[in-house]
Amino acid sequence: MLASAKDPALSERSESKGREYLESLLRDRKLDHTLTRGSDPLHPGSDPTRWLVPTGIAELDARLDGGLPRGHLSEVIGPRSSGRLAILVSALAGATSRGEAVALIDPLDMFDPVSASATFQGGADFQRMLWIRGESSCSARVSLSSEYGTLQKSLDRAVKALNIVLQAGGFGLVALDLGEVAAQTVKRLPYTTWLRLQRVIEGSETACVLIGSEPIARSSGGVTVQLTPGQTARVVRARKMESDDHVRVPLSAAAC
Amino acid sequence: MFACLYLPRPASSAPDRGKTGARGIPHATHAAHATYATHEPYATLVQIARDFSPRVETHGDRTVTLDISGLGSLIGEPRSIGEELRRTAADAGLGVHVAVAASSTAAILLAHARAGLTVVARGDEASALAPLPLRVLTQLGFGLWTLDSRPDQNLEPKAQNLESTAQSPEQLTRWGLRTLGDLAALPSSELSARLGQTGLRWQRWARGEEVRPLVPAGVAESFEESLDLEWPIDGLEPLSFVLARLFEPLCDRLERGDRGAVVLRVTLTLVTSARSATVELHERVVELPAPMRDARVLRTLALLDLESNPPPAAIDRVAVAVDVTEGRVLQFGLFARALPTDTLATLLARLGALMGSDHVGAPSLVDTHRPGAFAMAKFDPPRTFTIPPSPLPNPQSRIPHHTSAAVLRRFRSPIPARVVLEQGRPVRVTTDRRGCAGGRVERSEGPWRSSGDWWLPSSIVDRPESIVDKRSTLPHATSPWNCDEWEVALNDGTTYRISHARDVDAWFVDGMVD
Repeated sequence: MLASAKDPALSERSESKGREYLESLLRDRKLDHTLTRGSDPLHPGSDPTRWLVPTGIAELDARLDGGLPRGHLSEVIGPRSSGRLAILVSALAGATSRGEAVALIDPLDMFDPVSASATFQGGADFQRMLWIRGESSCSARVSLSSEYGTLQKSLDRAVKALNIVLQAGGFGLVALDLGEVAAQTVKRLPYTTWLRLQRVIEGSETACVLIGSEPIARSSGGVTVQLTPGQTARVVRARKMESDDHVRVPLSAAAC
Repeated sequence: MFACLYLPRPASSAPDRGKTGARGIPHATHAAHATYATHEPYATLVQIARDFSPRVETHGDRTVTLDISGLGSLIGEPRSIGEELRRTAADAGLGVHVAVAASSTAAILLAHARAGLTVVARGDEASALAPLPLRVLTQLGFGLWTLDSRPDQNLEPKAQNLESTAQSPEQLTRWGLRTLGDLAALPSSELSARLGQTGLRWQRWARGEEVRPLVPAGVAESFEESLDLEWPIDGLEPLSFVLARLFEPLCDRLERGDRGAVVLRVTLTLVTSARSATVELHERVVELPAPMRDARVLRTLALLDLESNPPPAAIDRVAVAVDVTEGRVLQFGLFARALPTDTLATLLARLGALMGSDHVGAPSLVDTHRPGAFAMAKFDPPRTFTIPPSPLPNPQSRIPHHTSAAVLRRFRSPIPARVVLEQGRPVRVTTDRRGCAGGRVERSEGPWRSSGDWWLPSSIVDRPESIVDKRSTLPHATSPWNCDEWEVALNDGTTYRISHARDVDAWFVDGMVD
């Protein structure tokens, strides 16, 4: 202590070593994935981009340091027509074009393969996409008491399906689309639901994404892509909030 | 050392040429084993051979070869073994020819040519075969031919060889040859120059040389397990323990036999009233997407199927059986992440039980302009991955080719809407649906007009259905459509896809761009 107090360089060196040691301990114990963000926790020296799932939108990927982190729960949130589904479909198409299997849990059965097929071109392949459809709803954001029970049941089944898919493993990207499920309904789910899902994918090569209108859940190493009605996005992480540089998300001609 | 058992035909029967199919081509010895096994004396003959040695090969429907190496310490000299074989067959009512030699070829030839027991010391095969007439080759064409081919070889290309095998002894007789010894004594190079490889093969047979190792025939095994319960069980939870107890030994047997289950059959004997004369069975058949032999996976699949189709009464007896096929070898790519087939099968079965099997799959496009048309395909991601070239646009395809990145959330049942038009363009869209109230249109794109299926029979067109049904976008919808589609951005920031059904002059909200 005396030596370090006298020699600032030595003090800084020992502090740096101590920090590295602490971080390696946390990394080994998987206690803080924010320290290993962007790299394979099992192989810290490996190419960090291999531990990410790019969204396929260059500006957004740049803000995400390469893409959505594998082994973590991330979320894409925003109002209607803000580009949530466009980001998701782009990420799904990109993953299939790299030969990965992907899954989409669609509780309200609203995914439209025809419009998504424009993104699924080149090497992207619907054959590698597992689409799990719930019961179709007549309207968006159902909250009538008569239909509430059905919606809650659909949501419960969708979460169970997500759990089953994540437990099976082998998927590069798994998404749960809650974009048109009322936020109040989502909030009725026990918060342990998301903790459990987070534990399931921890350390795996699967990136899990939740699509919603309001913040749902995110693991410590995951990211939140918050979209605004102006089709811009900001990325929120555990360690910092990047709110200044908004990313433009391409939408249809009418919306732009 | 090898022993050959030959069951001679009755005097009135045709000579042993083996079972032949179309064009005189014999069936594969091993593939047709089950058929031959139904022939009772032959089955007895094979069983006798198996009692002596596990390495048994069958040729035709009357000849069996077995490897008797190692039996010396148990029975004695080769002659004693041969005598024991002959005595056992005689006890079973079979008068067989038995030959013991160092090569299976010599043993087969001698068994067919000589009655009783023939024992040849090692190295004396050629001299023992030398006096046999050449017609033995004709008589044994099938047996020797199967000796000269591997079991996994395709039989079709060998048809020509078989025909030449059957005709050759006549040809050799014209050369002045009478016995196998004459054929064995010919210079190999000269024989090869005249008859090619076929001639050399005949000569090796005539000399009693081994042409290939003995290939033991597999035992036709049935993969079934059953358990009679002491007390009837009700519910799937106790049944899962019973299934685990049945599947584990079954899968062990599959593993030992290098077999995989392709069809799973579960038969539950239900509890019936004491007065009921018939036994009520609850039978379920699960077709597996790939051969598998993991007890846990099989049990899970069986339980998931029974969860969807539960037995109506308590269970008295549980029996499981599987249809098997050969084990598979999978080679995954180094860089592609792949789902193991059995994991995928379990995953799809579990999801099917949870969501409905028709709600789980891979999306696929339909070659039509019908708005929102799609189909569900089986989810079976390719095992290999190659980067395909960018496809050129097909002008003939009717699948819409969009240039924008807009992705739609589609309402499977379109929402009826009220649309105010100005100068032919929508300026206000409202609906009665909660959460989708609508508003003032700030920007609009369109219309995109499409129609189709109007050529269908009028009985389908004029059927009394609601407007919503006529605009149904379900994949099985067959009614005609004729609509203009618009994309409208409302003042609340939402962009909708709306459509005008021209036939009925009604507006709908098809979905929203997101």
